[in-house]
Amino acid sequence: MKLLSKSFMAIATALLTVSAGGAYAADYPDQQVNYVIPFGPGGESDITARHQQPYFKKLFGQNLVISYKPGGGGAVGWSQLNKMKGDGYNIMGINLPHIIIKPRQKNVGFTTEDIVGVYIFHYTPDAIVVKNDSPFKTLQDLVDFAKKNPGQLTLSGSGKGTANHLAQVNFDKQAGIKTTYVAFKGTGAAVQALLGDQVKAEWGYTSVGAKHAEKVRMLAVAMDKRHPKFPDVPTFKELGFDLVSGAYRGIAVPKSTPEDIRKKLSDAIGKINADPEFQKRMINDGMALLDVDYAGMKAFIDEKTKSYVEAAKAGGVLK
Amino acid sequence: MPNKDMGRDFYTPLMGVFFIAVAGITFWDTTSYTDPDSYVFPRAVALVMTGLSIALIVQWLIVRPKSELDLTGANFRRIGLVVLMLGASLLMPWLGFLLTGLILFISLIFIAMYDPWTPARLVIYPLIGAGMVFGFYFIFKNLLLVPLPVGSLFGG
Amino acid sequence: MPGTEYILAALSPTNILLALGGVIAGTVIGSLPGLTATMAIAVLVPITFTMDPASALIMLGAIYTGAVYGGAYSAILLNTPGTPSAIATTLDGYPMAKKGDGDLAVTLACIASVFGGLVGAAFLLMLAPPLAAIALAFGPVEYFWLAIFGLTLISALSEGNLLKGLIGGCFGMLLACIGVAEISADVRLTFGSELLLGGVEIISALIGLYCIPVLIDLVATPDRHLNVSGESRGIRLKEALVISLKGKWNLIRSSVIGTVVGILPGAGGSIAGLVSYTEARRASKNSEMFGKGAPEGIQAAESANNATVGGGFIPTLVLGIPGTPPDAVILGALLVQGVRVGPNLFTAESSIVYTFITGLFLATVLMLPTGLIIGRYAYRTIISVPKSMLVATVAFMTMIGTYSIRNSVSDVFVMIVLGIMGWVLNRFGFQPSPIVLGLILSRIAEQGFVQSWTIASATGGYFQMFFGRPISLGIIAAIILSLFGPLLMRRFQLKQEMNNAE
Repeated sequence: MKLLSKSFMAIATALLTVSAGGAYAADYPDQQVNYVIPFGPGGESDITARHQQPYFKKLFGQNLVISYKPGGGGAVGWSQLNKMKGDGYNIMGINLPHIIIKPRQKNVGFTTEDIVGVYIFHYTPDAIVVKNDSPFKTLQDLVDFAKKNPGQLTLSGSGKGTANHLAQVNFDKQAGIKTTYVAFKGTGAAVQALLGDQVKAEWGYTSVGAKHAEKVRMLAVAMDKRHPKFPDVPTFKELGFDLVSGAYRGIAVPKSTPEDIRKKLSDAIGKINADPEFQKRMINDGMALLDVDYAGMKAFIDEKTKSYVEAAKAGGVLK
Repeated sequence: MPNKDMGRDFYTPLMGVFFIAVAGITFWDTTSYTDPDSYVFPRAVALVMTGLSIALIVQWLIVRPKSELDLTGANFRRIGLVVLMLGASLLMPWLGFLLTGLILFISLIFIAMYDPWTPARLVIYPLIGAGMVFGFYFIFKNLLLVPLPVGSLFGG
Repeated sequence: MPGTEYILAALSPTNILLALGGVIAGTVIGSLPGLTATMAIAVLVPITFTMDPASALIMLGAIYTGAVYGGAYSAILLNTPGTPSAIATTLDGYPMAKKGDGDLAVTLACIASVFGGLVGAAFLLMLAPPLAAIALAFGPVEYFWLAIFGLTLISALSEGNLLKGLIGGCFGMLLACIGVAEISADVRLTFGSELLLGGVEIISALIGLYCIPVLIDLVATPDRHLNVSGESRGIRLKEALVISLKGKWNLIRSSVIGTVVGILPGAGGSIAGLVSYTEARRASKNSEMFGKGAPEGIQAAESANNATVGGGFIPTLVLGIPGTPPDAVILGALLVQGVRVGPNLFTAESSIVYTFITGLFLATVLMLPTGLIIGRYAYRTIISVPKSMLVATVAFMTMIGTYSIRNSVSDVFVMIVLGIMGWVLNRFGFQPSPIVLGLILSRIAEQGFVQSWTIASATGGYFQMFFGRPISLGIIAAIILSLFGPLLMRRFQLKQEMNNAE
């Protein structure tokens, strides 16, 4: 009897929560939030989401439940974003430049405008990485070599039309050099090629410098200011190149999500970003924190779109 | 047992033509790529496949093999199985995983049944089926944390 | 080398229990097509954060080992590799089970897996830092030739008509091109459809091409799924041990191949199994029995794929480059636990690593009794379940399994369509194995080729790039041997027979 009434209560509560699951911004979030990562487990998108997980629980008392919907370099997930329920309890990770470049190539089931980003919480800055024993001691060494031997400097990187590739295109243009970009499947394979001397350098990320600290050096990082974990590595800006870029990660919601919930979610992510312990973890992994909230999203995406599309056209990725 | 005396093999050249068509479609698709790195490989494979398919047809002309096509067995059950499975995959987004799974499982029991139906079996088999579906649903959803589709008809 | 204190630490009752639980859970997960070790580990990683790091790692390693072995059950009993690692196991496992020797096949697979697992773990324990160099010595061009080597297996796999086998291989390679290209920037062969955007996922393709045809034929006749001889013969351990002892060179060779392939990031258990299968077939005196239920085929595939577990941890722990997807997740867990990977891990005070490796040994040894018991149970179940229940259960599991890989209903649809296609093509003489081979090796071949070409274009030495590197030349030699070796052998034998006749 007791069991029966208990399960009845459980069902009743469940029904109540479902009917209350609509959009009451006042007490958002009052149940678990499903956080879909459009990539597989183990990647950087997964790792950063996992960093957020405990702080979401700590700050708002609700679980952030991560699940994966990989495929098509993220496109499978994003093409289904707007089909999810827009109640603020279904959110999805977004990555730049992916959501800008992919839909401009072919029909991938979504357009950049379809995606309602509420927050960009960090980026992993691009960096030129060489092996410890490389003859390139400074960025200037590398540029000099490339000037003397056009096309012969090989750099591995993760994929094409990606942050690495577009940074290479931009940098080559600004430095007036021609290098050969060799695309690999993911950062792990690109590092493997660098360590195995298959290529002379790598267009990688600051996270590579953090992960393989004993074996590689970074010549420059694409940030506004130096990365706190690598105070000795100059920025491209210091060296005279206008290059601040990387893989940007954020959170989006389905279009049907009410305006006030979007704002609340944006504030919530911002609060996680402000947590000093969270910041420490992210910086230790080589990431750089960034705060683009819901209000600033459109301007940010528009600005990035302009520069990415230009680079992608120059790099032969877009017509 | 395959019936060895079924006359000429008529299907091999058709398959050759089919694969040449696949290669042709692939080639046509590659013309829309922007990056040379994307089309080198599929084009090369499509070319090789075309060559092999032509060789297959030529071989057929020379050897004139006998048919080895074997379609014995209950084809209506085969078609039933395939239609049910395809149907279930199409219905899943609407009906959700649990309901689709139940329908599929229990109908498949009927399609694949060769033993005589006794009243006991009529009750027990579907019950076991339902038990399996619920059991797997529970394990996948709660232990393996797989977000199984709820079904858009039920607000998923 | 580790001191005894690490061994004792690993053998604490808690750890033994965790290893046992992990192996059992892993075996069950691996035997269900669609459930992968990666997924099981990803689910459990958050739990391990609350545990002692070494115990957590032991559990994760045990699940991984168990899952790689568990794939053999469905490969043998249902013709469906539970994990991609077990593809080569189906080639002889299922024919053997069909003949009525499923129990023997399962036991053989278990012994081979334990053997391979121990060899892989031994290499990991003793030679990890020097062996990690292999991962770095393999450049794009070596991966390209390795893929081509794998493709030569088509010539062995195409029964009846070699041309049909080769066409099937090409078709598989084109299937792999569907979707967003991995290293170039285009969306290929989707024809504007969202259904194909994610491409053909390999595990769902395996389920479709191998399992659905079996179901389609299973439902069409009242015959039993597997032949069974009248009396119960237990697990046939003695018989299996005799065969294993006879095949010891095969086991050793395959385990070493498995370890080396495991070291190569991105290659993995499926390729290890296929390569050692090819080699076993070439070395065997009764190579014509391969594909028809040769025990050597099962032994080669299963010892090799379990050896990749230890092998895969080598680049993961030494270089921080994960050898396989489960390694990537375990690496993430390690980093969170505060373990800094690198060659120092094996020299400095690294109790965690040695405890972990001891745990891996422990789990592998525990796999013998648990594997035999679960295997016996699985076999019994498959042969005693009424046909209607078997068909319904397997069909249902293919769907839930395929869905779970990427949480995608489209994958389920694609899986079934591929299955129907596989059945039809098989009727017309195009077997599924060459298609699967093409599908798996396509991406490695394409990426290796494009990368080699790009690098060669920068340095100007195309010939030097493709034919001037020692490892490449070794693989090319193996390719030539595997293509023309059997031909030469046959000619030689014929000559001898003619001489004898005279």
